Amino acid sequence: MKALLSLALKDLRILSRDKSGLFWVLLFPLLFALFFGAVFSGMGRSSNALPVAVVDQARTPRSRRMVKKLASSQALEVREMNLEEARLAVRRGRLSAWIRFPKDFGRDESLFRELGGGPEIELGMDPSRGAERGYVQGILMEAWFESLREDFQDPKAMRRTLAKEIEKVRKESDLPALQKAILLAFLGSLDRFLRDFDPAIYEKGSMKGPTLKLVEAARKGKRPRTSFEITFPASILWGILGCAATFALSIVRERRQGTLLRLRAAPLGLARILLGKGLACFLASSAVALALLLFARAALGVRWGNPALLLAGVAATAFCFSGLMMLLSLVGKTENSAAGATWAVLLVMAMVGGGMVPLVAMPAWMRALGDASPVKWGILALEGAVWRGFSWGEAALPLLVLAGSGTIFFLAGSLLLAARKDRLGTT
Amino acid sequence: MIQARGLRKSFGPVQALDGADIHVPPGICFGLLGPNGAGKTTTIRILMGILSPDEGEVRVCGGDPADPEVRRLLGLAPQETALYEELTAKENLAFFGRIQGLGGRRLKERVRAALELAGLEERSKDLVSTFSGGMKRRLNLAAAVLHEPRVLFLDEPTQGVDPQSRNRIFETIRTLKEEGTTILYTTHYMEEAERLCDRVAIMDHGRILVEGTLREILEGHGGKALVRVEYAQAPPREFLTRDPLAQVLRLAREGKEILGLHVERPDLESVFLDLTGRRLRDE
Repeated sequence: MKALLSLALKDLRILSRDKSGLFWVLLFPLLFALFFGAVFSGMGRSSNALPVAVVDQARTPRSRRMVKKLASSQALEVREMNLEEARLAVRRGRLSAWIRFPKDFGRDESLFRELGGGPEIELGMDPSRGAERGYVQGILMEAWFESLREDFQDPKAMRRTLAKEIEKVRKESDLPALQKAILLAFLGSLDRFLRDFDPAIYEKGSMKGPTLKLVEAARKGKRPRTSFEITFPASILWGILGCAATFALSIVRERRQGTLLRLRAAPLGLARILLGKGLACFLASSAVALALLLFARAALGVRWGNPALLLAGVAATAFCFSGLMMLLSLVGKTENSAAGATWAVLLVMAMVGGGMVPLVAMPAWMRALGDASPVKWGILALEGAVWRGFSWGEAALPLLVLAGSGTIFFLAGSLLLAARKDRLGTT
Repeated sequence: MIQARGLRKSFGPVQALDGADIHVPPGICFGLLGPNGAGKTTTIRILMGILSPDEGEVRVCGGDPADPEVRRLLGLAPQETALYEELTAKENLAFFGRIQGLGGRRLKERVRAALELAGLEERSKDLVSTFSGGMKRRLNLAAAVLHEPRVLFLDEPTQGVDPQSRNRIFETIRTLKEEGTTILYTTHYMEEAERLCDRVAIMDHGRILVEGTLREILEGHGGKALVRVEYAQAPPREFLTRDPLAQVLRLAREGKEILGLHVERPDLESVFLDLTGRRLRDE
């Protein structure tokens, strides 16, 4: 056990003096978490709502009501400006869209015009924000129907408009007699309805449409409090990937510089040498994860959720990638080829496992592919402890997948290394 | 101390050892000579128990060198300067001492002694990456003898070393020999073998061509000595002879005025030439 610890401590000491190694295992993950945390939290903006320009060329009561409604939406960050400014801001990417209410918007309050398709509203979108087009359209239509609903909530005003419409229809000479009669009957019925109906009944909800109730998928009170609670689990995975790559390369380096031969000449046995490497990788990965978690908690208020579960997640992930490290050390003969191949494997794992792009943003087939990546299970285990509120039962699957795959990787790597033992320690 | 019989080892199509026999008595320095690719390093790795032979038997210190208890009695200074460049000299020695089972006060004493042996006491806290090639070689040797092995394998320990470090390494080897350490020394420098080794084996293409004391080998395969004489009033002459002293006396008795005499005794280089028809350094 002493020799095993000596082997591991030697590697940790070497890592602590390797500036480029430290960058990849500690600084890069930290920068990753801070950068993406800042991006996702909308740092520099008052909120993470979509920034849009509103150009109100009409300045009518209706257009003002629409602007007010859009501004009150939490989904939009509304800035009023003229059309030129709005177009420029969207072209330059500072804003995502502009919404223009033209001069005649809300001036002709003719019921027919509004029933027959309504006034025109211009929506100008940044071509790169196609995904948000439907989102803005939905918010606009919601504001429009909300304004119509308000019209019905003021029957006196509606009846005044209706009286003008009835008078206009009566005077209309081009309208066929039958159509005129049908229309006057409908408008008369509507006028009587507005005269006799009780708005309070509708307010109670008996005749309202369905209401949309938003429910968080996470447990009650268990959701990321800040975007850093999402980015730090991913950054820990990056730190652990860095450790796996560094230690895989250290085996190749030891082979090249002859120190592996000297280790093999000692009364240790190949198994203990490999276990020592695995232990060093495990300890370094765990230390990096804990350092990142401590920083996140102290500087950014990231919670530890269930600390015991979090430690189990860190340990399982570190174990899994320490096993993978053994396999990765076999992929190249020289340090350069090993570095290239190692990072290629790890980057693909990170890519499909949600280490770069969140899994929710991926198509279904790629999410399914992510199940094969230990990165996905590592992130899930850590998020489960930090903010998803996993119970031990719920955390069991990712923890078991990590521990199982780590064992398989370690055994496969050790067996392959042992099979090549004649080449270990030779350059 | 070292007994190996019929060693055969191949790496794919390459036959590295082809039936090598080695016998090294205790307390001597045994030289294994041969050109690059002769099989010297493979032999050492098999004798250390790092490689398994395809065929043949090995006994070192009375046991199997793959056995950890036997391994503790063995030391190796590999051909590469097998050191951690990111660690200091002292940290390297302390680490190699620990994996050999040393600890506590004993480890401290041995690290100090090894640093002294390598002449690196004043650089003990410097990173190995800042050392010259010669200093690394000396440290490489010090790391091999840290745990006071009974058998020491030195694989070309002076390769690429400056004369000062080379002399220091030679002194160290002599001291170890005096202390009773059995040394197996590989080199392709004949003069090193002549200077240090009590017995020598010449190896080529994975086979031991000849083995014995220097005198035995030179007498058996060294050929004749060359005596060159320069006269005052006659052209110079050369004589090949098995007894150069008798030849010189004969020339003195001729009564001619001699300006100069030069005697070239056969050496291991000529032995290799005699045995293989090739020169060692041509490889």
